[in-house]
Parts: sequence; structure tokens; C-alpha cells
Amino acid sequence: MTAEVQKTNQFIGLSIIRFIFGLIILKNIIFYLPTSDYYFGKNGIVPWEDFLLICGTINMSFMTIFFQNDLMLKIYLLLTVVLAFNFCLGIGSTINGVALTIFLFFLKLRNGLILDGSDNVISVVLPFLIFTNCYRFFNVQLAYDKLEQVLRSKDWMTVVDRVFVLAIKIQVIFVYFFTAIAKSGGVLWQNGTAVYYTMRVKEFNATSLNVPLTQNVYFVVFTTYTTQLIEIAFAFLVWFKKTKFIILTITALLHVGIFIFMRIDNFSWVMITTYAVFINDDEFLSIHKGVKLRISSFLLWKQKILNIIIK
Amino acid sequence: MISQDLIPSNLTDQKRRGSKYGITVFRASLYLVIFLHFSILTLYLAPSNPVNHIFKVEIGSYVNPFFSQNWSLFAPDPVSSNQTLQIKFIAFNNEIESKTDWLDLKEMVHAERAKSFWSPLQRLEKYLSGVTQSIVTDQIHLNNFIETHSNFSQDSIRVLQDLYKMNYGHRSLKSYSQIVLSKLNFAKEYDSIAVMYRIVDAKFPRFSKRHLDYHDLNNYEITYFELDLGVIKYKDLEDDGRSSEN
Repeated sequence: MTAEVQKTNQFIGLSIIRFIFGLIILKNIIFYLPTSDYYFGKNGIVPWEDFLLICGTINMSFMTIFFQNDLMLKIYLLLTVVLAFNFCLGIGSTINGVALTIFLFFLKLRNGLILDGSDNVISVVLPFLIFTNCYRFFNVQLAYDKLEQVLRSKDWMTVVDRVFVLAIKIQVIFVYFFTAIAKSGGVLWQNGTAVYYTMRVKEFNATSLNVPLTQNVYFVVFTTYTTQLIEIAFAFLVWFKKTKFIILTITALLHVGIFIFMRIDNFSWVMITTYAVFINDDEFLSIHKGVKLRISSFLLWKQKILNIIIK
Repeated sequence: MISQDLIPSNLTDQKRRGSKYGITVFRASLYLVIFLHFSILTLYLAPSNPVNHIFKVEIGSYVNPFFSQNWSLFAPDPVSSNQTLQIKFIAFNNEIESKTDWLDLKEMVHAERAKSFWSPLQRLEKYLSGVTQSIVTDQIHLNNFIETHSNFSQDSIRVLQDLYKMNYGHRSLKSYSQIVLSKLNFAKEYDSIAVMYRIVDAKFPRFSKRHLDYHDLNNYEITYFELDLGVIKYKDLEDDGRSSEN
């Protein structure tokens, strides 16, 4: 390898994203299995003709065979389960990642109405993620290991790594930035009452606290404007070392709040997972070291207190 | 293999320079591709403006279906009412009308989903919300269009009002109702059954009246938006393998 080609320093973050995305995809496909013929079958809950048309447009009509009867559909979904399991553990590396992305793409084409924001985030991040060296950590590389080693030793693959890491970062930023832009045109987001409605709508009214909380005018106005501010600030503050961890923590807390009060589960976890791409390996190692130090000092204090109590 | 020592130094230097040049070109090209990709995505995701209007077709054909995305999360305005989706089956036999009650599709799924933390029914709830949103959004656009063009004849308005039948959500709901129908014994006795659906829009107290009891339906403003899904022939269900025996 020539010295001029600089390596990326985000392998831990990329591997974390791969592992968690793999788990979430695995969970989703297993959930689809019992009712797969309704969701994706020829006589399912979305029109078949539209799927035929779009597959024909991209010259992939042969893929419709997997959706024409229950047996083929089950085989397709079980193959996706295997691919997702492999992806989670890094088995088959890039080849497995490419196959998984293609399999998920056709499920999205067949029935986009059952997908939520988390599926959309995964579908736009995955095409970049699979070509980076996200298989380096938390892996059990059994298949194509040598092929993967040859691939990763190439200078041009190192370039792909660096550029696609940047692409993932931009894609994550796009989610927040364009959400904020779209919100800025809404009357309820402008007059500061949007959170009142989002927290009270039956679909997202997840706790008994939602109604009393939204009776408080300060809570509603503050959270409405802060949400927009955080979303727009993310796009800018995440690039600088001094502000990066502050904005990542605040946005993660926002997602935890959304999860607790509105029960939007997958989306919250997927977005928090993608933050790993903004943290480099050195930072991960120092976080790990810091956490370890705190735990051992906590245990030490606990022991001291116990000793005092016993005496 | 030829030892590096046997190759004249100017040749290895040339090879190294060539390789370095190749990588630089590759890196620059890849950055350019990514720059173009996100520039097109920016135009696709940005609010309507003169530039994305000019290149609408080109942008759409690049983004769809491989890079399609939409980040209008609770935007421009969040849904501000509880919307439910109800269907009803009506059949005639010797001029005697038989019909089911209004079946609340969303409520059934919502109640089941609330029982467990992680439920596969979350997907079905998302589907029903997507269907409802798709129909409501199209209908609002259509009504606005008809209202702003007062010169339309009654026939033209009737044709326009029938456009909802092309809506993806409407057609999806038809597929869904066929599955529901196939599970009801009701369907067996008739050759064909008409299906109606309605979207019930229940506006809970607005922000200015936030202290009113949220759980008291008397404080809600309820509107019904009723449409028909057409006629489903029971024979068609059997041909599709959806009869109630399944």
C-alpha cells in the first residue's frame, strides 16, 4: 500500500452501525414472516400491477417471481434472514452486504406502505455502508475471508472507504436538515404548538403524561422550537470536534424523549446508531477507557462504603 | 517473481508515480460522483423552487427508485386529529339489503398493538396510516384544485372527483378489504358485495382549548369523509385464492 493513501479512522463506528443495523433488519424480517403473503404476496394489501410496472422499468421483472406464490416468498424472506444474520456477524463481508441490500430493495419496492422512517434511513445508508470496511470489528469472518482481505488491501478500496464514510455522514445530516426545512413551512411549527398535536394524536400518545404535559404552554412552545433548532444545528455542529459530542448527546436525548412519549422505536434507535459514524476510533477508545475508569473508581468507592458499613 | 533490485530505479519510480496518479484520479472522480449525487438529492428534497422545477423529470428519474427518500417527518405540519379508517360491506339478495357495521380497521390494530411492547402489528398500523394519509392528502389537493377553478362544468367536476380511484392508498385499501371480506362468512352468500369506506377525522380540543377534557368525545369535532371502493365479486376472490376457506 502506498503511504499517500490515507486510511479512514472510523472502523469501530462503522462496525457498530453494521452490527445494530443487522439486528434491526433481522428483527423486521422475522416479524414479516407470519403474515408475509399479506404484506408482499401477489394478492397482498398493495396493488400488484404497480410492482410489475416498476420492476419492468428497471429491467428487473425476473425478481417478481419471488413474490408470486407463498413458497417463493417464504424462501426469499428466509434468504434475507440468513443475509441479515451474516451481515450482523460480518460473515461474507462485502458480497453478503451487497446481496442483503438488493434483497431489501425489492421488499421496499413491493410494499413501501408498511415501512417507517427507520427503514428509509437504513435503505439510504446501506448502499454506502456495505462498501466501507464496516466488517473489521465484531465479526466472525468465515466466508470469502481471503477475497475480503485482497479487496481491502487495494488502495482504491481505501479511497472508497474514506469517501463513503463522508457520504454516510452527509446522508445522516440530510435527514435532520431537510426535516427542519420542511417543518419551517408549517403553521403549527411556526406558532410553537406542533408538539401539542404530535403528543396528543392517538397513534403517538404513548403515556398517561402526554396530555398533562401538553397542557403546559411553556413545555409545548419550548419543545416545538427546540426540536427545530436541534435539527437544523445538527447539520453544522456535528463537523467540529468541540461541538460534536454536545449536539450528538442533545439529539440522542431528543430521540429518547420521542421514544418514551411517542413510542417511535425503530427510528429512534436507527438514528442514534448512525451517530457512530461521526466518532472516530481514537475517540471510541478514549470513551471506553473513561467508562472503564469510572466503573472501577465507582466499584472502589462502593467497596470502601461497604467496608465502613461492615465495621 | 522479479526482484525489485533488478528493475531499473527509474522504472519503479515511474510505476509508483503512475499508481499514485491513478489513485488521485480515482479519488477525485469518486468525490465528484458523491458531490453530484448529493447535489441532485438536495434538489429533490428541497421545497419547490425554479431549479428543481426545470429538472423535475431528470431528478425524479435519477432518484427513483434506487435513492428515493422523504424526510417530511411531522412536516410541514403534524397530523392534528385522530383519524380512523372504517369499512362496511353491503350486499343485496332479492332486493333485501344486508350490511355489516362500520368496521374500524385502525382501532382493531391499535388495540392489539398496545398489548405488547414490540409487535408485528406496528407495520399494519403504519400501513393503515399511510393509506389514510395518501387518500386525505390527494383529496385535499383535488378539492383545492376544483375550488380554485370555478369555470369547470359539473361533468368535469364529476370526472375529477372520480380521480380518487387512481390513488395508490385507495387501491391498496381495496386489496386490504378483499382480504377482510374473504375472512367473513358474510361474503359466502352473495355473488358480489359493495364496499364503502370512510375516514373519520376526530379533532380533539385545539391548543387554545387545551384544558378541556381530552378523553370526553363531546369536546371533539368529528367529520366523516365517505367514499366507495366499488364492488367486489366473490367469484374473483375464489379465483385469486382468497376465499374464506383459506
